[in-house]
Amino acid sequence: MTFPYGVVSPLTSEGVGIWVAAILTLAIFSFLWKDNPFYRFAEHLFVGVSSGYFLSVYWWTVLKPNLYEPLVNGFEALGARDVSGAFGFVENPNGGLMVGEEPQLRVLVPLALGLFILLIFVAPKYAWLSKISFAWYIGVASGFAIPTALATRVLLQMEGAYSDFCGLNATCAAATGIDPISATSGFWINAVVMLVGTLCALAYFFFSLPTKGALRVMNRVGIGFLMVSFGASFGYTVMARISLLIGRFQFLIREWLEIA
Amino acid sequence: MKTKGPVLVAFLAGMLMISEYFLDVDWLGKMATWIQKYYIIIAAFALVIGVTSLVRLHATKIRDKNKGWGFSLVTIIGLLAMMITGLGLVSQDPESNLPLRGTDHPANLWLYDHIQVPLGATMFSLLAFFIASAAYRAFRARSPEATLLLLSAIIVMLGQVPVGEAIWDGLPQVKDWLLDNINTASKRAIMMGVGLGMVSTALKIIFGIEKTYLGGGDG
Repeated sequence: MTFPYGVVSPLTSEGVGIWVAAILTLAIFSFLWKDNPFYRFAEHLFVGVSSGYFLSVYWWTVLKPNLYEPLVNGFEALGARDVSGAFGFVENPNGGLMVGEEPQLRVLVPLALGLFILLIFVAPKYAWLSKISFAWYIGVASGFAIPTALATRVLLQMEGAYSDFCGLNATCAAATGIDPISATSGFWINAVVMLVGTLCALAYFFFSLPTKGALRVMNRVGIGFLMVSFGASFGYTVMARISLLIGRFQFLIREWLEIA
Repeated sequence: MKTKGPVLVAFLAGMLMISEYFLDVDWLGKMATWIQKYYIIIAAFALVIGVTSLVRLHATKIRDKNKGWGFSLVTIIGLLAMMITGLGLVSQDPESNLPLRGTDHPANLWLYDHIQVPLGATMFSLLAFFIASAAYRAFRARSPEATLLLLSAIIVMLGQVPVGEAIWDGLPQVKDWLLDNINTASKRAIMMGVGLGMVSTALKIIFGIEKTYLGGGDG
């Protein structure tokens, strides 16, 4: 349904939505003129709706399945006087009890750690307990990061830097799936460029020796590689933002004004 | 005790996760799986504290009628609207008769589609203008390094759009070569440096050398 002036009608459910989105889009764009009340309205609304949205997403995807439901099941089992079941223990086929897959009331541990964090606001006198939660959180993240970072960010990247040269050795080529016969001269040039680039860029971050002689040369080549990489990343970012900008203009022109 | 206790907790939690990776022990694996589940629960509480902090800040501004308190009211209304539709409302799908709640509820979807998505997209698209002015300052060819930066950015930008191909049909291939080789080589070196930095910081935290995450307070 077209509105008399050529814009989408605000009298339908979809039309109201398009009008709201268009007005808010223009309110944000008004910042290009200067900071003004329309922009501040849209900015504050964005902060509010985003916070509310992520809170509800976290409830449905994290807290409800991993905390609320196990707690309810655990207390139900406790109500039925099944103490071992309430804490997620199941019958062991070899006799006795064993820890089951469902955590049930064992989630009281993360619940307590989570509530300790909230003490910062609720009971500042006991806010120091939140340090235990943060320590646990940071400790787990650190312990998880060490093998993961070593495996993916260091070893895997090192392997990537030299794996192309595996084509020179029949056993290694078979292991990495490289066919030495089909590898063209272009393939080898690229492999050398990659290895030299990686080593030289690493040399740029090597501060244990004075930058003289060969290290200085590697340093300069490394800067060149890094600059090309930063330029490419910048170009990508610019294009992504411009693509978003075009998308907003397309929305205003096609969906709101219904032109074209 | 208020510092030593948390440092010990961090040590035990960290060592448990490292041991689980290197040792093939059944109970360690199970424990690590629960710990990862507990980890996301605690992260959710961190979000709760963020939102609580936001509400307290804006509620104080509204209560004291500080300058711009009306905008704080807008934030609170937006937050409540999203929370009520996302957490409280339930409706029925007319076709399948299944209950619609959370982010599937029509009211929540409407707010998401017509308020959150346009605001987010426009906010980030606004950066195109600021990035253009930053590009002007960064891309002036004042040195050989700045020239390399300028050239690679131009090649990547033009190589991605049809006008680039119209200028020279080899431009997309040059762009791909730059990204696949030069860019990958540099990113690989940066990633190795970041990885080693992560490992050293993590070790410092586990062994109690780095304690800034605990904030101040009496030891």
